[in-house]
Amino acid sequence: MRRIGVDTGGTFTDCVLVDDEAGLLMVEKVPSQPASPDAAILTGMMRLIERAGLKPADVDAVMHGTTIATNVVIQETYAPAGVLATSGCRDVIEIGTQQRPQPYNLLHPPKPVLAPRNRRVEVRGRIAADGAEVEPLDEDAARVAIRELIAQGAASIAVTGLFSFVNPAHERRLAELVREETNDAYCIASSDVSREPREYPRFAATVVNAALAPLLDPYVRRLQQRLADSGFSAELYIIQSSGGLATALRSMGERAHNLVLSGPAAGIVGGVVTAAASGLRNLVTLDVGGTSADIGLVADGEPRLRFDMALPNGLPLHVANLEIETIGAGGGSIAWVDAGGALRVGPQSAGARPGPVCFGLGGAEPTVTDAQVVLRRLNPAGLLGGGLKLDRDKACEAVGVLAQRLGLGLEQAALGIVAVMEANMAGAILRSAARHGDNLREFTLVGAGGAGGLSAVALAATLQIPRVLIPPHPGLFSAAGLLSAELRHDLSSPLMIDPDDPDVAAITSVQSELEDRALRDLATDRIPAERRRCDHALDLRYFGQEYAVTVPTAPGERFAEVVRRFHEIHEKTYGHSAPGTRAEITAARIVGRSVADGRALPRATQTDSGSEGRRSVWFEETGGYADTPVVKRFSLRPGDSVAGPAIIEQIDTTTVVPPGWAAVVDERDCMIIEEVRP
Amino acid sequence: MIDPVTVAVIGSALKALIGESGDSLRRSSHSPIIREMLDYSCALFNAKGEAVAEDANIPALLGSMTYAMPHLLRENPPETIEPGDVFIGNDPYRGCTHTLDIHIFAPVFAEGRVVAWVGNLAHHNDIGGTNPGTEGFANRSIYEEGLRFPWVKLIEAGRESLALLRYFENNTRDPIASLGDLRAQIAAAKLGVRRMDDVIAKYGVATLEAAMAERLDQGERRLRKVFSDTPDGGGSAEGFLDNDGTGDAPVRIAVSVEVKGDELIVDFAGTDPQMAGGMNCSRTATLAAVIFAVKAAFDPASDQTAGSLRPIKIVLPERTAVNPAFPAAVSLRHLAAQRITDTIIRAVTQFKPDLAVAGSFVGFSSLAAECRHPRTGLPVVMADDLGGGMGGNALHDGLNAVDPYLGNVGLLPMEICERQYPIRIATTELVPDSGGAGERQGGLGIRRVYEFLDRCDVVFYTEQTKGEFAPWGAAGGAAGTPARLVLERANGEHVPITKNRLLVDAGDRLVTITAGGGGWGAPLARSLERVAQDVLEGKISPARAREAYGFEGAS
Repeated sequence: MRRIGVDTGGTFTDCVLVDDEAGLLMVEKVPSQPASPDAAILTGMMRLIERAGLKPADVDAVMHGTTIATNVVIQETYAPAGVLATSGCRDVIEIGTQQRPQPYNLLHPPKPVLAPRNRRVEVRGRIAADGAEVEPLDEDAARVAIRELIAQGAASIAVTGLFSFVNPAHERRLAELVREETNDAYCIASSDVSREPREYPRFAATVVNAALAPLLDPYVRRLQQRLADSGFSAELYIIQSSGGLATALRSMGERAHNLVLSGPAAGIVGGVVTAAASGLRNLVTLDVGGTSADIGLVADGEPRLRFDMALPNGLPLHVANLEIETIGAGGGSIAWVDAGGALRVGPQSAGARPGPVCFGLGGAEPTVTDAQVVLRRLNPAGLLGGGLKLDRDKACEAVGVLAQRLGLGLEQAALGIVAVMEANMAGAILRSAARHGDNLREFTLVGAGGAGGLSAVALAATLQIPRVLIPPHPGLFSAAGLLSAELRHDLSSPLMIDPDDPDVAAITSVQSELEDRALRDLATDRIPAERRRCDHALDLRYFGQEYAVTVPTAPGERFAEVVRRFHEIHEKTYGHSAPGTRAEITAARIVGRSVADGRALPRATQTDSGSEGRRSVWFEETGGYADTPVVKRFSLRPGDSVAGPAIIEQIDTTTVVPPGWAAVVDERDCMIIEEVRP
Repeated sequence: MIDPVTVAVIGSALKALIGESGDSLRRSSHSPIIREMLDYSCALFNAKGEAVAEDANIPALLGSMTYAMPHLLRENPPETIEPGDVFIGNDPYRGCTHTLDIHIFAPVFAEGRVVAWVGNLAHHNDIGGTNPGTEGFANRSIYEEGLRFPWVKLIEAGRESLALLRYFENNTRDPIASLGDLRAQIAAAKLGVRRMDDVIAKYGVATLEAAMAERLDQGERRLRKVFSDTPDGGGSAEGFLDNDGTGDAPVRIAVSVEVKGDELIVDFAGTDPQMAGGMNCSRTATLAAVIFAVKAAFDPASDQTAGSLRPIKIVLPERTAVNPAFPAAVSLRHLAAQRITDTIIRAVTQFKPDLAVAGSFVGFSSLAAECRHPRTGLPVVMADDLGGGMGGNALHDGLNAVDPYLGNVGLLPMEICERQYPIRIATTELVPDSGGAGERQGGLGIRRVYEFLDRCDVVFYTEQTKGEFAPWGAAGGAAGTPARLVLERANGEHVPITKNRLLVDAGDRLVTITAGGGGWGAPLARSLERVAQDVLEGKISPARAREAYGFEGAS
């Protein structure tokens, strides 16, 4: 099978071609074109095809990771959406939770509202908690309201009604009316976006969808068209926030908002795939860039999935997404001393411009990267194989000013800057792990991104994570994830059932209906029957609780057994459980997926000629500069090992192996770094 | 002396473990007041009980646990405290804020002694007493305000006190939620203790203690620097509660605030005597209000520790509404605390020009209903608290529909309410024209309508219903509108209420309208585009646009 993975990033579009039969893996990097991302994609793909001596029609599948939705969300360049609400709902998305994002700010800036009040109209109609109709829908008023929304400039319409997750009749009828009254304006109902209770997050997700789809759908269609025009006949798949692939068709419309974390999700999946090949299934993935670090948790080969998230502007979004914790800690994070004399690092970042002081682009505040250059962990001679020159003297000057304020020596201050940033990262990893009661001693830390290798071992030591893995190409993480991701459908249906006296027929019928839908979707996606798989789960909670725990279930399993596991998971997650206390089942969930064909990716062959260099590097453990071997990453072959202290360099990253730790290259070309037991 | 790097690294670890403890408490609690409305707080203390790291979601709880710890330590001499103990307390006359805020503290042991404490407090829906939801504006004494735990062991050396738990269970109107929440609190504290054990194993007791001490000193130095950088000066203000909960006479809060060198003095001389009803602000609650106001006015970005309290001198005359004597009732102290905060802020605006703000809604319109669960018939207590408009300020219009100052509790979702309680919320909407006119307009209030589907015993209350006490305008801006509650009986009768306890039946409706914020700056200086946009959005009426802003409409 021949596949191309295309990951559009902020700076580069990475394209990777894999030919399983020929055992070939080929990479092409082209500059991204934010105005027309599809142009860069086509350029990269055509170059790959040419280099491989193939024709477009020879490619069997194209997998795409995109930041287009992420960018709309960050830059708030949404399409103008309107809201058609039933009784009592007009202002829900503006009032939200009535909380202030900055509780200590009395000069508070405005909260974001995706659809201003003149593009929100309410019509009579109310469904009760049990699904009964309390107040009939006023269809005449609705028709007038729809025309008013269009007149106010709405390009799309979100239909929002209370308890539509129990009975969507009003929402569905309103959506029909929108189609009748408009020239096919995009319309989405909250019950089609989420089946979870709590009106604000559900409505907010619906409005986000309505504000994204008119921008994303044309992009996906254009990309499909351009691929076809260029002679590609392969199916186009796009990676979703859940880390699963979906066909282009299923990435549009009611699922458009699933693309919000498309890019970062590919990175986590890349970590899973890379580590799985090395036999590791419990992972903390750490992707450190210039301004932020993304932290993901993978237990038993499955990335942690959650069903809600918050956008950068605070809006909640109900969508299946990988649990990625992003903190403002990266190479560009600025170190400063507050009025009380406390050392702080970040969240302000020097970014790419002006960048760290040592880049010589005008940066004046000392950053983490400057500290790493002072300590000579980063090569003072330059990075990116000499493509980026560094000025260590300037870094020393800036860190020196801070050192003076703290009453410390230069290197102590540099060590301190790194230590404080690492402590912030460690705290974020601890909190991520704590959410599920994970024991970090059973995990492997995967260091990725340009700066992951600098801190990975130090973090592992702090967190008692026994092992670090550095993939051969930390920069190709996302593209590798794309090529190996599974196609998946996450479906759920709300229930309200007492497991001690379960209505088995009701649960079974909901589950088989979900399974039918999932299998039908997989079939439409042209997944062969033998590769379709469905995993079931039930949501349970103690009676009176509102947050539920998802318990995986086997078909035909006894409810007593499911309840027993619920208590167990509750104990593990929260540290307490109450067996014997009444519980209730609140939802049935299913994941329909295509089972991967199990083939590992071919290896990208690369060798460094090269001799080992040496430089004087400061480690905390050595308490001073130590003459340290500097090893070229691809001079190492599988089976080779390097004892710390050592610095391992490659074009896109630098890995620090402190004293007492040793790196071994495994058969998959990954570096495994572990503490040396005396 | 300990180096600043170690202090920062340990500080980061302490904040992470307290955050983790808070996550665990919220996610595993039972009642909506904790998990939806986030009315809880977690903190870590040194052996002396001074907070060194906090995770406060509700500003009202900021710093407040620091005032509870000395009472615990006084009542429990060191030789009586053992590893595995967990203490409970909620008595406002033993350092707590009101009886509903249940505090849980667990000692952290090392080298055979207590080296730190992990604590949390969570607002419970009910803890017995005269009224459903325990809070009562007309309570005459603390004896009407439910169970009061002195600082006793709920868990003794790892063994749960079944007697206490069963007694507690037997005396609250919503035992399933209360016990579930208490369990979540205990687990959160124990988790914090386990994480502290890891920190101690890594850094050792001496380093940990030095780092905690230095964190407190850093907080103190930081705030002293802020006061030093502020020119010496002062201001004073008065604010009023509508009444004392039993009569109709307003209750005066008087405060003067002065910056002197590197200190701040907050003096409540001139405040009215303690009230006959239940809105007295317990000493701890008043101190917490001062801490919030000082942080918001002077140093919003600070990392709160007990060290930040040292440069603040607070004068609280005894037997007053802000420092009542036992056994005055204090359950609704939040109403007074909000007014106290608003008054301090008003005083500070007189001498700190960059605090250019108008007054915000402090009425906290609420209800607590004793009722039956719609599906199971089991007893439950529903509680909901509404925000309103925030004052406009020199930079922005006031926020619409938020819980200002010490508040910041979440709104009860309409779908959660109707699933858990026999109460249907018909609408939740903004109130047009409620914000005070100004160059920066006050934020809008909320209108929420509750329809009762079954008989409920309800305590309704709101403050700020009188026009003269509505959110104040500043720099030429106008005041916001006052709050209003109306009970619409099924038989068509409309009963205006402010603070009432009533039985309601299926078909009765409560209409709650909260206040809009005060306006900042001269209304005529407001840009006409903004006025036009507000008219378009229906946030102000054409009449208001014409009268307040001279806006004649788009031609």
